[in-house]
Amino acid sequence: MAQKPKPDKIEKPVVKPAAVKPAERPFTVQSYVEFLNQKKLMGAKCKDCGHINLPPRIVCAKCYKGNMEWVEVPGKGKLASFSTIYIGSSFMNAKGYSPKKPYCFGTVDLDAGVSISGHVKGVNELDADSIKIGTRLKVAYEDGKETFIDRSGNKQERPKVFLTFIPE
Amino acid sequence: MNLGKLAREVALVAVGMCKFGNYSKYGPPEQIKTSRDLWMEAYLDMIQHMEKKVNVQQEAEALFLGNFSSDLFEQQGHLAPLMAEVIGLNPKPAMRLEDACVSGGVAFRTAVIAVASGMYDTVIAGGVEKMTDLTTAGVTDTLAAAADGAFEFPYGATFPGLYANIATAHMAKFGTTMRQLRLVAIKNHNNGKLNPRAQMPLTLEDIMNKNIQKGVGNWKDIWEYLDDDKVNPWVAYPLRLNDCSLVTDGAAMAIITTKEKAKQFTDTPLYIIGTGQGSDTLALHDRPDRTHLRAAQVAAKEAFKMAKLEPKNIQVAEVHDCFTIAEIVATEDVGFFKPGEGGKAVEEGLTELNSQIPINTSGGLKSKGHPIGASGIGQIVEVFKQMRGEAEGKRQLKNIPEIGLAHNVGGSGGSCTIHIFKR
Repeated sequence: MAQKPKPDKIEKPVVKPAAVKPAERPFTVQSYVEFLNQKKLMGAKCKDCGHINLPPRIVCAKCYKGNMEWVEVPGKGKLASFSTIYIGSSFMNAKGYSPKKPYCFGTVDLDAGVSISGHVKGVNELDADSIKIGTRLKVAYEDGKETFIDRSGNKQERPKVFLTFIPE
Repeated sequence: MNLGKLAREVALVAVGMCKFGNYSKYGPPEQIKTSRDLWMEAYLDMIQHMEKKVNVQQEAEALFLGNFSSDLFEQQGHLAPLMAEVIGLNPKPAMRLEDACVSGGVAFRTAVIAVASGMYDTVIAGGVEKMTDLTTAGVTDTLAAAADGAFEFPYGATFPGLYANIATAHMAKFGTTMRQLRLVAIKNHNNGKLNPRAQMPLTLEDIMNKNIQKGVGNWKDIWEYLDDDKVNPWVAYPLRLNDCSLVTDGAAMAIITTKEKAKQFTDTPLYIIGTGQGSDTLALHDRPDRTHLRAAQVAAKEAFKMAKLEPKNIQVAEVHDCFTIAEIVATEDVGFFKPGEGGKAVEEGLTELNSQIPINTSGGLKSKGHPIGASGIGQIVEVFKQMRGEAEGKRQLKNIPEIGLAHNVGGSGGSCTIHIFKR
């Protein structure tokens, strides 16, 4: 049973994705995901050392101080490693991938000096030898949906934007 | 002996393991086994092979248990007191250590530190994992929980996929070949065939011949077989099925004690002369170098410094071959070969039985099996046997090694332990 909120505690309003403004959001995983849903690749720039933290975080990964500001990270870079995955996660299988239709998962070194994992599209997954490390890539946002279990235990669906990369 | 930061000498005096295998709840009822069943089998194996009769329940003061995820695999948490219970260690302290696939290695290292500190004289370090009750997708997802759940998994990462990324980076930088990857699997199956406790004690040629007999196909040699999508399908390019370790149920344990008490157990104890551990970012993409594991390099440096030895002094090593590329990278991280030369070394046969540095004489995780939390202890079981001339059959090295090493990795390299043993 969920506890009743104490009288002196006010429940936080539900912030709809459309209403999200960088200044109002903490530097959390949830914020990052919500920005992605708005097709924005947002990172946290350290005001002390200038390091761009992507995904965003409250403690800088370089100087370990905690003064951040939101920045939109340019989504261009190059493929640093990859694999075409035939036995995928259940999550990707649900998106229609299978041993007959593998997907490419790679790590991307962004020009902004940070790296990130992503689904790489627009390559020939069935001919992995044709995929070259060093290939220039850019961010592409894929409209999709995700299923989740709500508090009552019911399966529900909601729209979700997936971070993918395609050749530049 | 100068022990570095270890306060006193620590000895390894007894080991045991169950036969690694598939004891799934979906199998024949008489073959179904749970974690506690496997753990008790490992215990029996240990006491049956103990040189001198010792009352383990009386002597052992604590249990350090490696386990990755009995919670997800078996719906059973709070595993350490349960495993202590079934071998009669209650009410002594029992704790579970979880660092993905290096849970066993971390349990062992923690036990070593506990004895070295003077807190305990005699402890049990063990590991157990029961993996086969889930579907393949369930196992894939559970293992993926050891990757970065926020920033790798949602983009399609799987464990084979992450090691496959290390492989493509290694291949692009050093010219490592898929042939070299496959040779790791061939070697480890050759060794595993000689290990009665291996899950798959068959060479890859044996497996090919079985498939020929069954009429699955016909292949002119092992290379044609390993290139055939039908029998050796892609899992995550450049890794095929036979580049991946097995999904395994298993348990293993060891007794660690002081130099003084060691003689109660055996006349030929091994001494733990080096121990090292490192960590790294969980996400592969956050590491500047995706061709090597920094956690392993750090662990190796610490262990060799403590042991005052160099990689060339090691005469037998069990390294973490969860995927074929992982063994190649491991032999470079430990320092047996220079960066980029691990693949060539396999091709030249330098890591086979009775060669320059025999690697994974047990069959490795590839053939012996990879019960996540038990794997690190299983490696130490093999090193113990090799260094005492007790390895079964023809896999016993002709020159009984005096110095051995075990290298155990967690996740895609987020953690690693290395131990060096001396007879």
